Amino acid sequence: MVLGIPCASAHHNFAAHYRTEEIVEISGVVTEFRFVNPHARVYVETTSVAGNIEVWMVEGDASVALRRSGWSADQLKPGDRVEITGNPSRSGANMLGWKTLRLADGIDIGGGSGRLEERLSILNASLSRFRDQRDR
Amino acid sequence: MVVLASSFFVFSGCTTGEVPADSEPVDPQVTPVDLSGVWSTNSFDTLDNPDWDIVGQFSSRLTTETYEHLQTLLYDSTNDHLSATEIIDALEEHTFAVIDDRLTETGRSVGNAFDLADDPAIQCESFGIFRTVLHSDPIEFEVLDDRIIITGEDLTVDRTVYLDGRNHPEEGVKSPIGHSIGWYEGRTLVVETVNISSNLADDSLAIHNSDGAKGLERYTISSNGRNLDVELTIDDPVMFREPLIIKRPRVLTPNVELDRQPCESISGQF
Repeated sequence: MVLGIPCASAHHNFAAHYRTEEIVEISGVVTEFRFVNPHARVYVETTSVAGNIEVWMVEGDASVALRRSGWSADQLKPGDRVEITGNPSRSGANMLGWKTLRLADGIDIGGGSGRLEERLSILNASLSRFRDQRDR
Repeated sequence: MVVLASSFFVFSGCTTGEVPADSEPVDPQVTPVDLSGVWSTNSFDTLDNPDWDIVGQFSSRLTTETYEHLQTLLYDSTNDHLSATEIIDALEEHTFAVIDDRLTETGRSVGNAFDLADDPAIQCESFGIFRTVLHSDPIEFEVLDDRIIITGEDLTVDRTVYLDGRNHPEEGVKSPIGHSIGWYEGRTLVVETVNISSNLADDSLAIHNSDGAKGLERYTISSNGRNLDVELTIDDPVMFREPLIIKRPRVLTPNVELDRQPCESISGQF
């Protein structure tokens, strides 16, 4: 989605760095969470199929926007197990623009680029209420 | 009677730059509406603000034509099979079709050559005027007797809109933010901007402006003072065959404080 109608509060488009039409999934352990501008970032250590340890950098929404949603610098901690889906980097580096981020308890804490899933949840609920009231 | 500007500025049947014949003379000392405060777009953290109606929740950088299309998508019950995702996709397709139809050959060529990876914002270069107006972050209006100061976040640029009746400088230096003067038309603040240097007008829409572009913003406040209809007209014959009008509504968010973090050009790098 290039137009960004459900846009992030990012100062540039994620499509600059990530293939927004593709989704990949990784799972691993958080080694660092950086609550920085322009985008929050999580470093995750994963183990490849061949048994090699890999480090991924995962970028989310703008830290300013996340802070307004109640996020803090200790939202994620080293050692947290995570499952992440996101858009792979255009460069081929181990980077993702995250879309969903699930903790070990299976809960998706959101916060990804564009907050798309979270936005769609609100919009679909509004749409349903609107249609009900419109037709009364 | 205050003469607000020279009369060269014409947008699709709407003459600006001077007081329209059917408007009340404007005394800059008397502000008919109060735009003071922080105004937010339908970004995620304010999407559930009760002052949004369903149209506002779906409105983001829509051309006026697409805005009308949105009304049809929502109010015509034959479209009730559409999910939010499908409505968003339809709006995206419609907006790009309108823009594509509006582009000159130059505008199309510049747009096609644009790669998001070349966005100057990645290197922390501040936005120009149009991107500042269309950006999703909150903005704050500080209304003074003779001018309005508009501040924002991130890479948007702070602006001064003069309300003291001055004209634009005749030999003004072009800059990314240009020179802005404003006046009130009833409940609407009108802002006219010239002397704008060429720039990326909006990254998501992949549109650019030439150094001959002129801007007209219309900020219309609702009767309850909590909704702001924002309409930006880009008049740029180099890039567009006709002026392009884009809507970007906002709601009043008194609890939001602007947060200007320093930019670090680390995005997209490991």
